[in-house]
Amino acid sequence: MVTYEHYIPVVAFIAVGILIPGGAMIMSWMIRTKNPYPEKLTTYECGEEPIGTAQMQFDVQYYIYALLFVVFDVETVFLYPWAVVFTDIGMIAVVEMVIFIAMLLVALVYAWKKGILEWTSLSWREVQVKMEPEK
Amino acid sequence: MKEVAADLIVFFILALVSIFAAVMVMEAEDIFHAALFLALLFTVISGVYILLLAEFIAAIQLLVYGGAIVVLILFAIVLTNRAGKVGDQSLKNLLMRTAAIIGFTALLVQPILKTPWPQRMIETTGLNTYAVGYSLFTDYVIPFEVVSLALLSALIGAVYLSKREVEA
Amino acid sequence: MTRVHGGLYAEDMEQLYHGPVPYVILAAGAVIFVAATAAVGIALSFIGSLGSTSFWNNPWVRGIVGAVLWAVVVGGGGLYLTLVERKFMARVQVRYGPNRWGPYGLLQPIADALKLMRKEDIIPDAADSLVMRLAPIIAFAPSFMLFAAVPWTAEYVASKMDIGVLYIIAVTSLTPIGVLMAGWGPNNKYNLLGAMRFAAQELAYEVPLILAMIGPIAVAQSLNGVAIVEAQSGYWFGVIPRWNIFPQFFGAIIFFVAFMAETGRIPFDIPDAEGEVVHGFSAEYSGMKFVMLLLLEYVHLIAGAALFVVVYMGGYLGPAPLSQFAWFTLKLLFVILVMMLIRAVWFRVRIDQIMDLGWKILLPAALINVGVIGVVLALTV
Repeated sequence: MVTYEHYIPVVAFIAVGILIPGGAMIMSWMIRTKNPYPEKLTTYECGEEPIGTAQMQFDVQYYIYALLFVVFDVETVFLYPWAVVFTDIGMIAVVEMVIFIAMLLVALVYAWKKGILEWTSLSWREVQVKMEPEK
Repeated sequence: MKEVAADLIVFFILALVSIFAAVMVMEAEDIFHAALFLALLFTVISGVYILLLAEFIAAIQLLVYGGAIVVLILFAIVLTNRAGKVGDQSLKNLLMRTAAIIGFTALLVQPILKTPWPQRMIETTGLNTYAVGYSLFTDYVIPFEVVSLALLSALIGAVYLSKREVEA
Repeated sequence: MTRVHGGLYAEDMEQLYHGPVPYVILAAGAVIFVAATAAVGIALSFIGSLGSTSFWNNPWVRGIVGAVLWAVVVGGGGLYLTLVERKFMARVQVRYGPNRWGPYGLLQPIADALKLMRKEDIIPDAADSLVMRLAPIIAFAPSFMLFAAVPWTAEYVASKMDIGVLYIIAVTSLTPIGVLMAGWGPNNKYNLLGAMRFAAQELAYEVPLILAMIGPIAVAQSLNGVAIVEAQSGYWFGVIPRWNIFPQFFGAIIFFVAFMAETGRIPFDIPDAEGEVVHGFSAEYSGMKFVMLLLLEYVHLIAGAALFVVVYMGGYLGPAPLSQFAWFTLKLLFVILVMMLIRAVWFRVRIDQIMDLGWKILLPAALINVGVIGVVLALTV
């Protein structure tokens, strides 16, 4: 039987999980030194004057990995209830799941063949050539 | 009856926080803040699912929306050039936004009042995950397999879009 | 005296390697460990006997006591695992490690903590200060929340929820949000680069991690941590414990590699590679906020090791002389030490190699692993 009983401890864990960092920060706020001046408050960039803002444009590759992740995340979600019930249902459930997994392996192979699992569209050798100074 | 009252209080807290978060998703000036409010909204919604004793759905809500979708949106924000502060903060615009929110709420009043809501919670026998799994793999096999096709097509769409972007 | 590299003398090296010192330390450590866990176990059962059963079963009491105990474990563990790690790595790499504060450097973590607490807290002018301030809390809270469903013993588990491990996975998936906040808030290029790398790495290894837990779940037919542990009780041929790690060896390897990558430690520490992104998403942080982001790594380490012990190594199960409490602690320490050993002897790998390992090797391997386990279990059970 499902009741709220099991979720009340979670509330306590959330509270303590917020109190630990919060409390530590308040404690350090009470005893720490404070001596800000303009140079100290510039953004750290290895001692140089910071160039532009950090909130800049990133490589699209990150987004593609996130898209792939959403697809496979939703898929794995279906596998959890399956793992709980399949021995009770029998072989038919296993067959269903093998079809499901095969379909997703096809998807993975497709993405792989299309080259979107590569971190960079260049090969490692090409990257090295690019980074060499021009003569 | 004490238990029911506690439910109600928790529900109203969650509902207020979720409405606040939803409004802030639209009202936040910084798009990154808007995405963070969206994360708060998804998290609070999973709390509402727990209040309905749908613990499996609550975990899925956190995993898929709170984890995956929000990270996807945050990546999208970092990917695009940041436009800085956005939005028209004039009084006229504010009034129009308020009117839009009230208007949509008014549209929902009729269906909310007309729907025959169940008056008490349906007694669940057995465990949540087991029940979901059992009906998924016996009664709803075809929809389940169709889902795998839908996921496949989603992935092909993603590949197509990203390939175009990489080439461009 | 012949002086060799690193300020050690050859005689010292001789002592470190061949003298009785390592064995004495090892034996003393084992004795101290057994005595300490026994003492804690007795103390806990004594405290338990003070209240009635209904008192200890009250969900509020369970939650608060559990949260405070785990806070002690995570706080103390985070503090002292740094020392254990430094000493252990030093031993592996034939160095001394910290040895100035207290006997054998035992007070070093406390000195570090006090120093860091006194450090000035710098919020740069260009930063989004609210996001920057909130980030350590948002990153830490979900990682701490997951301990609610981790069973220390059959009784010492705060919440006996039915969805146990799924809950753990679900709250873990919130961590990248906090880290991305830490990357975005300070408006520093290194922070953002580190956070993006961390999130991308987390996404790449989350799916294999989830898939690798399906085998043990299928054996137990439950998502609950206690049920998963209980399904591993008993022995094969009277000697080999029925831990999932033996029949599901590949699943265990996938799980281990995946959670090692999720903690973001060497060899998967590209998110905070000092040489290129200057400690990544914590580059601009200082003082207590930095400590919290650093503690995150150790919380992940403890959580991942605890999950590995529960799912693959029979949790708190073990033969009688030691209590359940001691067995779980022992296995937990063992897994953590293996991770530290790997850190001590390995090197950092490139980001494209990390991504390839996650998406091209672990993911297909985990999918096939699930299929094979499903067929085998359906045929045998």
